[in-house]
Amino acid sequence: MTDIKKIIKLDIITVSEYLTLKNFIIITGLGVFYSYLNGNIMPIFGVSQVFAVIFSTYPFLVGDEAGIDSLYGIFGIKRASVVCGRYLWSNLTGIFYLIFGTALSLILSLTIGKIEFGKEELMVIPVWYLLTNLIIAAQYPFYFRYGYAKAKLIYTTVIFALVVAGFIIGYFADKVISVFAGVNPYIIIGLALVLCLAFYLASIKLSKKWYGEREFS
Amino acid sequence: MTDKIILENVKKKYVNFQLGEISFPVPKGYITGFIGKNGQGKTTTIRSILSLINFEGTILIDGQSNENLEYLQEAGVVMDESFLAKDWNMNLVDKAMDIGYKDWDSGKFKAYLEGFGIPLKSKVKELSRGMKTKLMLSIALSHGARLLVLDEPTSGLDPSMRDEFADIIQDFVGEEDNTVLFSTHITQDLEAIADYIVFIDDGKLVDFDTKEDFIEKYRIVKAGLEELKGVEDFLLGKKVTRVGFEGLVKEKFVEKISSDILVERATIDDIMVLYGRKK
Amino acid sequence: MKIIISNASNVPLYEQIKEAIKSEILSGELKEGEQLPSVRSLSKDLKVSILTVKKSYDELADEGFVETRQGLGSFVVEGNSLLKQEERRKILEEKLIEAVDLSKSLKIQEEEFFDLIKFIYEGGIYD
Repeated sequence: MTDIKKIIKLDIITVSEYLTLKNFIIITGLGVFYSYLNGNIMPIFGVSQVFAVIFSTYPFLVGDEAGIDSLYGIFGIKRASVVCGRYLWSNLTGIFYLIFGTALSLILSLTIGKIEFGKEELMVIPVWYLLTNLIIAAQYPFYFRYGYAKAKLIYTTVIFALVVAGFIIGYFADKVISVFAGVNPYIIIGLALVLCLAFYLASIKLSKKWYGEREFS
Repeated sequence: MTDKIILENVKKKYVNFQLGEISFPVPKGYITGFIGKNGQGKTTTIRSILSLINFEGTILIDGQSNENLEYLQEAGVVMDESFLAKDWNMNLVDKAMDIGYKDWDSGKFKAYLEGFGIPLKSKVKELSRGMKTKLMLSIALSHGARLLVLDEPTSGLDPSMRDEFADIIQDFVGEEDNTVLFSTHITQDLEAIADYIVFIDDGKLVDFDTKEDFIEKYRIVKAGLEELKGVEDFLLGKKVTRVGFEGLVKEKFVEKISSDILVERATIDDIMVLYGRKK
Repeated sequence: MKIIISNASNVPLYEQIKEAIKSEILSGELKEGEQLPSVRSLSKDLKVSILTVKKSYDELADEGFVETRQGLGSFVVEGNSLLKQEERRKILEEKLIEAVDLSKSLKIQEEEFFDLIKFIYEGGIYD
């Protein structure tokens, strides 16, 4: 069994307690409620992906408390593998919640005529996938470096900063879009994808560096 | 005779303390006792050996650098702080160990638990200090380990449990290829069963030798306060009271000491208590 | 096999073990060719370190009582009755010296002493 498989399995054991039915009921309830209000399926994805992001921090939350980093050390699992394992875990978590969200949306659109699920809605899925992974990539290095408790504070600040940035960009949205007016949309998409990938890989590299420097009892 | 572990110029700096440089071997097939007062570098050394912390220098396990972490699969660890999740019950521990250790023997583990009286349903946080140690020992002995690294394993055990513990350790080295590194400040545990002694003080190696030779090197001298001046230069440490003093000397200097002074054999405990002691 | 060691004694542990095994051999409790317990198992039974038992066995081998066969263990040397005899004669001599000294200190005359010996030799003391 490779180290990464070991980590994912161990993380599943530590986190499995938190994967309760209650969570899914909340997601479903909130998602359906807001979608109904909004008239489209976006809120479902919004809610499920927020849960995905929260869930991706659980290995840190529970792991830190459990001293699981020491356990990884005792097993002789390399630090770099722990990092890769956690990123993979968060990726899988994101995909899982996406599938859940998609299924829920389909059901909703079939049962409630008002809500659409067409080609446009389908295109939203990869965007959510990217977004979730980017948010996770933005947090993870800090979790690896400081552990859950301290990182939470930083994370909250980052989220706050993002929200503010979102508003600012939203305000200047028109101007931003006009800059790209003449450019081929596929190039923009391609560029965006490359940037996302670069960001994600840089995040992994930073995590590996910071986690490698930590000391455990 | 080969060495299971070799430390070469190992160094680790902390804000308030520095370990090293320190070099010593842990001979294969024997019990090596690792002694020194608390806070003198034993735990840092052990953590370095287990690759839990970064350090300068080289540590070889079976001739290979410990950067290749595979040796940990064959190493059983008992530390005073449990590395197990507090909410896990024994079945979860079993599951987790099965994932982490390639040679995990679940049957053996459960047999040990039963022998130690640890119920399968109990959670790690519900166990007393002594039970936690027994749990870690059960784990350490259930994955085909060839090396046992023990860091203060008996601190929470009463004397009869400590005796049981010594039995188990001696059973373990009943196999010629098995090695034990036993770090403790309860030196009575080592007086009987240790083959070799590593003595560390203030982050530096004071001595490495067979237990018998180690003890032979030192003597305790006892006399009245008037005689103290005469021997003070030879003393490696002393304890002074109103009615006299007790000092640690190297055996080779005993002939230079006047015959009025009582000279006794030292136990490992004596050596550790008196070494470096100023008053 | 019986080995009792004392931590309180001034005699080093390895020597106590060595002498105990030696007397078992000399008294015939341990037969020629018989295998001694492994170093490691004996160290556990006596609760001493492995090196201590090793030292005993090494010295027993040096003194010709025991031979160690690589990979098999340690065995009481065969055909050493001559050696045993000599050792036992030595012990007899030592004990006789003790007896004579004691007798002298009790101011017992030489003739009386010989009478006593004769008496004992003929089994008199067991009546």
